[in-house]
Parts: sequence; structure tokens; C-alpha cells
Amino acid sequence: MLILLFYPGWVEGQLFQRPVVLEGVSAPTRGGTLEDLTIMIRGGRIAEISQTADVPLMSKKIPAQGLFATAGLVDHASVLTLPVGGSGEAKQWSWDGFDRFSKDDIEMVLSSGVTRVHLVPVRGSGISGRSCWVSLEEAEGGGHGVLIEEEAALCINLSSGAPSARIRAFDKIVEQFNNARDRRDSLDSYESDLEEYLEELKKWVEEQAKDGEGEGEKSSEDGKKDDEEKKAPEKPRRPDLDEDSDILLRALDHKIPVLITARRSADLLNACELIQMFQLDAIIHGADEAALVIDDLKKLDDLSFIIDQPATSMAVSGPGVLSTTPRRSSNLAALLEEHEMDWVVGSGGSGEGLWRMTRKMTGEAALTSAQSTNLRGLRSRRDTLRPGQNHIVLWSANPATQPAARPVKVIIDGEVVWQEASAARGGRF
Amino acid sequence: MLNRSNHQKPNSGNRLFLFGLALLFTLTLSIPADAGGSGVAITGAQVLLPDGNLEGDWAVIVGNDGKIQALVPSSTVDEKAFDHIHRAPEGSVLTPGLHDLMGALGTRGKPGSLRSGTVLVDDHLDAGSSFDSSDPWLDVAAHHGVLYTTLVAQPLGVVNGKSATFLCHSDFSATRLGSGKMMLALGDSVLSANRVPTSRTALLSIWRDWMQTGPEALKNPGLLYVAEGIDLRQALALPWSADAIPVFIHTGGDGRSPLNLVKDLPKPVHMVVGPLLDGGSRAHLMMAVRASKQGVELSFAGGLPAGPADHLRGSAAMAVSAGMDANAARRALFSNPAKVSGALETGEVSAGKRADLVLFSGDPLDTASSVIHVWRGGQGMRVAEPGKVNELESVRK
Repeated sequence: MLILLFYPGWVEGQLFQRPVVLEGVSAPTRGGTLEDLTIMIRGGRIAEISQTADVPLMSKKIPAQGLFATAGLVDHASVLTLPVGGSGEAKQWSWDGFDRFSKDDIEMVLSSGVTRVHLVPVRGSGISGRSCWVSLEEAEGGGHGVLIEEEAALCINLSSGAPSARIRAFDKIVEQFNNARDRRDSLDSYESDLEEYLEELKKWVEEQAKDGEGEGEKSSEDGKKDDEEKKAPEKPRRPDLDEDSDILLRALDHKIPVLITARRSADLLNACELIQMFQLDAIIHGADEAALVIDDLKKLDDLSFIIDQPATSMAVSGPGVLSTTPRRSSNLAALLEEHEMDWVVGSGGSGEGLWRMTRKMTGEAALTSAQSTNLRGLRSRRDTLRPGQNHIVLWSANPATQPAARPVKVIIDGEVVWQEASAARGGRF
Repeated sequence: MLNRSNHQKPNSGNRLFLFGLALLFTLTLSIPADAGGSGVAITGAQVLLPDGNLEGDWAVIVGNDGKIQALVPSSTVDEKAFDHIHRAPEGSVLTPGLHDLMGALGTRGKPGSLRSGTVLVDDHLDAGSSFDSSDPWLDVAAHHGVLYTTLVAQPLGVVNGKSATFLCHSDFSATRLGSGKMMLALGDSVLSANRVPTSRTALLSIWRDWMQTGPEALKNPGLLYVAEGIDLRQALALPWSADAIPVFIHTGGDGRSPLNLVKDLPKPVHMVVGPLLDGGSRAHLMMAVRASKQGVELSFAGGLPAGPADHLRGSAAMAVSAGMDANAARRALFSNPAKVSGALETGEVSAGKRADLVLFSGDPLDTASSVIHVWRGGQGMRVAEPGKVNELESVRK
């Protein structure tokens, strides 16, 4: 009772704002490892990471002794549960194709430590649609997946099909952007035409009123003549609604970035041309043959990259094979780094292999790469383990140094959203 | 680098130390007197032991006969006594060759030439007859550390002849390893509308009748193709003798696979699973991990040249991510396929085995590791960095 009287805040904190606590965890850092940490989560977000934290009496403890904690991994190019292929258009939206009840697929991705995905629509050549960011936490009404950014980028695919199809697709995209510009021009002229029309209409109405007063004095012939002269002004026609063009206009106005999938050198040069032609805020996805056209890419300001390493058959590039698949530089990440270009890794698939792909592409620097936030253009969702973070992955070993490390638990907003079947059940009081 | 101690049981340290001492004593004694003055010594790398552990500070002595002469502590190697010393970079790992099981490597991508099934019990079919040693993919695979290919006939009959294992080396002559194992099958692949058996009931009846005759093909453990859970269940109901339990080729297994029945078999039980690919069946992946946890020794099925060059290591990395023990995954990559295929002179870095070795930049389970150097029969081959793209594509807008 005395405690209640003298420390009401403490009592309220103990009883009503039970923090979630992870005790005895380690955290990989750039220099090594911090051990025996206590992570305290309040309101779903990390409030404190410390070796000397004072754990509240009534806290909810999640068993985490000996595990390694990192922030949740982020897949910058995912097709998780999305339909792939077919034709796209600007008004298509990846969130519409996301199936939050596809439990197995989403759990598979969570089990690899990925907690946030950038859903990129993958269609045939041309404009594919709009991407969005999704957090894989449990959603209200069931399933997993909460929309955290509605319109992340306008996606364009310059990389699919035969060379002639890619050329046609490029021409069509240019035409669509030009049409969008024309539409804006016609919208602008409609506005001015409308103003003129209103003024003319006003004058006409006034004249009509005057004419009405002196109507009885005029002969019938004069009346006919006046009718022709005093015809009402014609109302300008409003341009038809065109949602696709409106979205393209948002890209032209730098309100949303453009994500261009381009892998071969030719596609990359087309992408450069498109970006320069319309002064787009662009991110290039793929860039397999960037080494060949690095000088052209460097000419563009603020260009960033989402790179991946698709699994390709050994048979597509070898002795005597005339391959049409992009020839990928083995050191793409290092190349972009060397030329001071921003890059992140996106799985290009559902995301379950993101961590292995990141390790493959960046080696020991994988964790640093996975947690960097230096992507310009597209809003990167990567982050480190720090106060304020609400996505936590607990690993069986240090993921920075041990390839056999695997996620054991995934915590979002203080709730265990996935845990290894053999692990102890999380959340005990 | 993977720390070995993290993957051991708490009390296994002393046991391993004693084992190491015994191994050291045995191997030191086994170095031939003329080991000095010839051969190659590979030093500085961690060595993969048959149990899947990685041990540092060992040197591998390769003789001029293309075999491993000894495994000795690095500090005891007299460098002047060897023709060549290969100093491996720090953190690198020396392993046996990877093994592409039941793919089409060495057939110029034409696995159709391995058809069987016109004779239901075909003891004489030799999968090796379809091997083309000039297949250029053999050398490409070797550059990725895949040094062996095991071919089998398609499982269209009850007995589909013998498997054949070859060294991956594009050459005029083939290097065949081991004598192969009989390839058996029990499943839908054996059924046909044109000949018996046309139904599963008939197939089981044929199997029982054939087993009662005490066939030669069942005197030794063979390879049994039981892709689905029901195939494995029905196979386990047959009267196998304890010393002829086959290797189960269970590449289509899932949650319905009767692993509870498998674990009761005399150890070790070998099973071939996979290949495991990103976006593939999670049910199969979890079945494989569960089998491994129950003590079944796994091997990963190959798929070259159609699959990605590093898909074997990819399968192992996926399985480890899903909960498989790292040592078991390394055994599944290296030593178990040698046992499965019957190529017993391969699969281990130990004295007397073929000097088919791969030097990885790190743990082969780590997708970040790459192949640095390869030895086939003691003949070294430096693996260059993958070539840079240096030719501009001609077609562009």
C-alpha cells in the first residue's frame, strides 16, 4: 500500500506495462560480440539493451539464454505469395496480390530471419505495377502481413524476353511516359481553358441578360443574326480519367521512385537512357552486368541498386554454350562499393534464401550489409539492433561468423511470431 | 569460421582428444619411409574429418601414387622433404570431393540413355555404359569441387542394374571408382500399362516372390528407390536381412514418410534426399532434417549439369538452416555419398584414400566459401576466380 502511495508510476509500470525481457543474449557487433545482454522491450519496441539492466519484477520473459540477437532481416525484392508473370500495368499493386493467409510460405520466410519484405510485382516486359513494404507480423483478422508503406516504387521490367521484345517494351514505356506528360499538358491546358470558358460564359450570360431587356425592339431577322453571334461558349472537354498515367506522373514528379529491373548490359543502358530522358529517381534491380557499363551508371546521380544472385543451371554457361542468360560479375557488390554506389541485397524470390544469398555475395560482411541503411531512392527498412527497433531475430549462434547459425525465434512488437519447433515456447510470466 | 566445439556434446572433448591422439599415433606410424623426398604436403588448412568435424593444424601428405599417404600435425612436416608444399590460406578447409549422386553428369546431359525396365529384373544393366568421359561438364563440375558422379539407370524395373561412379575429369579415358551397387525400385515408376506390374498390389507381390528366391542382388546392400512415403512404408514391410538394408533413395519424402519405422532398423541407415532448393518443398526439407535428427545418415541427391553448380552445398546449407546438425550436413556432403555409391576409396581425408581433395576458402557449409584449389588423384589444379564479364552485348536499343 505504501509502495502504491509513494511509487505509483513504478506500480503502474509493473502491473500494466509489462515489459518483455530477453536475458542472457549476445549481439554481434562490427568489432566482435557483446555478451550477456538484457534486452527490454516496452510497447513493442526495444527500450534498453544493457548488461546491467534492472529487470522489472512482473516482466514477461522470453527464454533467450545463449542466443544471438540481431534486427530482423529485410528482403528488398520479394515475390512472397505474389503471382508471377503475365502482363502488368501501373495501377496493379503488389499488396493486392499478397496472400496473408499463405501461412506456410510466410512462416518459411520468417524462419529464415526475414521480417520485412518489399513486395515487387514481377511481370513480363514493361511496366509491372507498384511495390509496397510489408511487415510480416500477425495481422488483425488473422494471417501475417501488415502494410507499412503503400506505394514504395513504380516497377518496370526491362529484362524479360528476347532482344526484340525488350526493344519494343522500352519503346512502349517511353511512349507511356510521354503520354503521361501529354496528359499533364492537356490537364494544364484544360485548367486554363476552363478559366477562359468561365469568363466567357459569364460575359455571355450578362449579354444575354442585356439582350433580353431590348428584345421587343428588334425585328425577327435581327434576332436570327444575334442568335448565331451570341451562341453560348463551348465548354472545354476534361481529359478522361487515366489512373496509369496519373501514377506515371507521380514518378515524373519524384513523388515515388522507379524500380527498374535490368540485368544485361543492354538493359542497363536502356535503363540509363530512360532515367536520363525523364529525370527519374531510380533504383536498379539486378544489374548483373553492371561491370560492363559502370561508366554509364556512374553518370547518373543518386542511383542505387538492389542486387541478387539467382540460382542458374550450371549448363547455361560453360564450354560450347551460347548463353542468353546475363553474365554476372562474381564481385558485383565489391564493384558497386568501389564506385561508391548504394546497394542492398534482395532475394528476388520468396525470401527464404536471403541470408544465404547475402553471405554468398558479401561473405563475412553479410551482417553489416544486411543491416546497412544507406539506400537512396527507395526507403530502406534495414536497421540495426538498437533502442526503438521492434523486429528482433534470435539466432542459435553468431550469424556474423558461423555459417551454421540459424534463427530460433523471431519477435515483432514484443510477440514471438515464429519459433523453431524444438525451442521452448516463448512468453512466460 | 565454424568452431568445432560449438557442435559437440559437452563431454565429447576428452573422447575426441583421445581419438585424435590415437589417430595421430596410427597415422604417424603409417607414413611410409619414403614419404620424404616426394609427393605434396598440403599445410595450413583445417581438415574435414570423417565424422564431419573440422580440425586445424593438420598437414595432408599426398604421395606420387595419387593417394593420401598420411595426415600429420603441421608442426611435424619437414618442408624440405617434399617436392611441393601447398600452403593453404588462413581459414581454408580441405575436404574430399563433392559427389553428384544420380544426376546426369557425364552423360552430356542425356539421362534418357540410362533407361531400364524392359526386363523387370535386370542384373546385368551397367549404368557406366552411358558414361561419356569427354563430357566437358565434368571439368566444369570439378572447378566447383564436385569430383565424383554416380550414375544410375532410371528406376523403371524392380532391379535396374548397377550404379557406376566416376571421377569428374573430362578426358579420353574414364576413371571408374568402386564396383557399384544394385539399383532397386519399389514405387509408381515401376508400374506400366504395357506389362506387369500394372498395379501396386502386383508390384508388391512380385517383390515378395522375388525376395523369397534369395536373389544375388539382395546379398549386399543396394540402392532402393522409394520416392514417396508410401513406397518407403511398403518397402520396410518386406523381409530385409539385417546385413542387406538398402540405401533408401527417398527424394519425394514428406510428413507422411514413416521415419518411426526407419529408426528401428540396424544402424547406420543411409538415405538420399533432395536436392533441396530455395522455393522447393518445405515438407521434404523438414522430413530430411527430422530423419537426420533420428540418426539417419543423409546424402544429398545431385542434379548436375541441369542444377546450379553449388546446389549440393546449397542443399546442405538449407538443411542446416532448418535445424540439421552441421557435422551431419558435412557427412551428407562428403563421406556418406562415398558409402552410398560404394566408392569406398573416396569420401574421407585419411591415409590410403584417393587424393581427390578440394580446398575451400572456408567451411563448405558457408555459401560465402569458394573453391580455391582442387586435386584429382593428387594432381593439383588451381581454380581461378570466375572470369569477369568483358564482352559488351551487341543488341541494344
